Amino acid sequence: MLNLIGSTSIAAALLGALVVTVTGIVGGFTRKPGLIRAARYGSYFVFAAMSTAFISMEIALLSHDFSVSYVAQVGSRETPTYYTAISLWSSLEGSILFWGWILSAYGALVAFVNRKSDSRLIPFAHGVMGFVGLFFYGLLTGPANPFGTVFPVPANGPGPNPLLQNHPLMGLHPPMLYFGYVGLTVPFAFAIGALLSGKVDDEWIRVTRRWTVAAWAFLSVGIVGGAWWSYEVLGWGGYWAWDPVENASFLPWLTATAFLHSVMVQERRGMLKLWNLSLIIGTFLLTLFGTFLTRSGILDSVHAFTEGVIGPLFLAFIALLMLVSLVLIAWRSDRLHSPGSLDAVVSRESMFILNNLLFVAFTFTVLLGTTFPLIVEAVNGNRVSVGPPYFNMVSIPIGVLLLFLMGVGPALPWRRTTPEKMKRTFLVPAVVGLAAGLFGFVLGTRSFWPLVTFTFAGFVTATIVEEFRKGISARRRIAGVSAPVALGQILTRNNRRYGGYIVHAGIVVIIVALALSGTYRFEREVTLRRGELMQLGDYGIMFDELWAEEQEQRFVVGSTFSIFHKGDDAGTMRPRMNYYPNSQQPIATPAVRSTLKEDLYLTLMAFDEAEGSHATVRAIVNPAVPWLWIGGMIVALGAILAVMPQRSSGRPAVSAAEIAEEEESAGLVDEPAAVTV
Amino acid sequence: MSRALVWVLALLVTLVAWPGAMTAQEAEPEAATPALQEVEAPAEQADDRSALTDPAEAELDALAAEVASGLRCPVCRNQSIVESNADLSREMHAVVRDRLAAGETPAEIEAYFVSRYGEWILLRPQARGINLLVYGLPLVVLVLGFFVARNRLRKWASAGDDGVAADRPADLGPEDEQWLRDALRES
Repeated sequence: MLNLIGSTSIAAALLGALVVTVTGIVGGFTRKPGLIRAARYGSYFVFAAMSTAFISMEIALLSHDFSVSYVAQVGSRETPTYYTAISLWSSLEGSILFWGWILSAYGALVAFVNRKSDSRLIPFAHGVMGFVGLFFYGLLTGPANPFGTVFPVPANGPGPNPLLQNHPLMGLHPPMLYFGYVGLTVPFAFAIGALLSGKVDDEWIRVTRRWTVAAWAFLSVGIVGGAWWSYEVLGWGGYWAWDPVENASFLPWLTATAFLHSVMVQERRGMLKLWNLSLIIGTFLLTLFGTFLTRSGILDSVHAFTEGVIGPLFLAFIALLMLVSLVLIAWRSDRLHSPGSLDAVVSRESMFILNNLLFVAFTFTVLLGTTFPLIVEAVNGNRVSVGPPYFNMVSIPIGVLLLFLMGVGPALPWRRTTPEKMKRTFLVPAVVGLAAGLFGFVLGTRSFWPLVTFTFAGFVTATIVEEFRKGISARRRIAGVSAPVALGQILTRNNRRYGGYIVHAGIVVIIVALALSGTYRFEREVTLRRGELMQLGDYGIMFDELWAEEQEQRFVVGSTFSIFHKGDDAGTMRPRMNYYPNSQQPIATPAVRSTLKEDLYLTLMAFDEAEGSHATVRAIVNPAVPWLWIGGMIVALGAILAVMPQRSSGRPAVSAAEIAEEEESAGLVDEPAAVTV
Repeated sequence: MSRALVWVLALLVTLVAWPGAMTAQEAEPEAATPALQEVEAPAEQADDRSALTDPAEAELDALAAEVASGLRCPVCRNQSIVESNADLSREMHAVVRDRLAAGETPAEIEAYFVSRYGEWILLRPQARGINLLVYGLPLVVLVLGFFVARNRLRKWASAGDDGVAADRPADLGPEDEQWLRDALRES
């Protein structure tokens, strides 16, 4: 029954997407209201159909209907209800269904939000989203059909991948990433719409700005959440392994970040039209490429689900979209030429361009490293590995340069500046930065990159604080309000700008935490007998006992360690190993003792099965790790602020209020008092 | 234009420092090895448990972990042998530690594993042959991109000096501006 409902809904969604594609694009060219309306209602219809499929699958999962092939593949009666519900994205077919459902939701939301808009872009955007939908719904009807019929109906199933049912966060991290990935379809669709319609000014950017920031925020939270999950759950002791699939989420994040910055140049100066279109098209193709990497199994990865026909299909779709985009760009090339002009080389515009250069070089490097084993094997048949030592080495210099730009860019005014203003702007931040670097040196840091990182982090922090200070004082002068009220006002009236600064602050926190934990982490693996104590830095770690627990879906072997910090009793830690019936290797669950200064991280590596008399433990002291998660939360907060509707009463969205206040605070409008600190 | 020059210099310094930092990282563990040779004796006696609280032993373990984190677990997916709890990884980790204790350098240990498993075992490709591309291409992209961007910026800047640039975005006309000033004053 559910098989039938599900398959029918997906077929209906496929048909609906076809209608949306045709009516959207034809309607876009002909401007026939009937066709445009059809594309809009078609988008609602596709969402309804995909929701039916989505709900059918959830019902099938929760009711353990093993006649549905996907349930037979990932369900089991022993799996707790929560993990059963979220096992929708624990395997290939389900995750494509989830992806398709989110895509249909975005399509309907775009249709709804713009239902009264008469912009020429809208029908094209529907058409493009419908076209992308055709691919995903098409996959669901054939190669990735989750609603296949299983006969005879099995009594039970194997349950989801153990890694994915080990922690509640699995209910949050993948959806965040999917909302991010799929959300980037929206700016892509409008960009293609801009090319199709020939309306290549910055309208498509303004219409999709909040969509892009929201998708970016989802992606960011998804990435940080994934790092947290891999640290707390996977138990290998790190938060980022440069695994191909992690890279797959990082690549579109990098280009989307570049895009969020470079569009500001186009909005202000009408430059970089072609560049921005290419960036967002590239970003979207990278999300597909990431899915290709994940789903095709072409690269070894903990995330790779399967091998088969899906990979080539993805590759073909990516190639098709790339080709179409190139043809469209060539077709519109006469309109894309934007005569660039700058008042001065040293200006915010040029900082954005440097920023983009670094982000794109970063993207290229990560992409090259990720695919390099394939390239080498294709060229000379050798097998090489490109892992964390490589990626850390190449990303540190680029990351540090980006950090530096993050301090320079926002503090430089648009258009031009004078040496005196530069001095006024950067003197204090430079001093703060040097002080931060010196502080690191005094505390014993002797390595080059960490010292540079601390210096730049201090510099950037000071510029951010200075921007807030200038904004608040300008606001106080204009509106005559108290400082806290002024802060509230700049945050709500100019949320895009100050939200951006908050995001920057979060990134600074993350980068410093990365530098600290990357440089000062140390570890030790030791086999301890009962009652034995080992020393690791300030910590004493004593093995007390082993224990076991039979749970519904797994068998747990745990260990208890007494922890001493500088000789004081600091409680116990209980790292475990989980044995799942459908996994040969046990899945480790680490024990983490977190303080704001550092984490003590224990993983049970092996134990004496006969008598429980000894255990092998890997202990890691990992400084500053909690600050990664705090930084991630700051980033999310800033991004939420930035997507809030602007509170400037229906005037041209970006320009007016923003420019005025910016100029106020930048001292362009006759500022009475000089900057005093 | 002199500031552009400063930028070029800053970038070049970074680029020069980059390979320098690479080799520095490699050199560190080797420099640490002679000191470790002196403490090899206790490690060989399985029953001497004083190693657990001996700082020198902790240092040896830490170095072993560092070397092991550059070696790939042959039976896992994208994990180093220090991270994996597979039996083979744990044995390899022990081999790394024993060889360090016996006075071998990290480079010698890597060479040993390469001879047994092939270059694939290293999580960072050796900088030779085709592998040079993975190190060189990012630099090429960065440097080329920088020069392209610099030339563009200069061209645009000279265009801007001719007064071609509009003073305001197109959608902000005089009335808008007046409205804006009023609105700011009101609030």
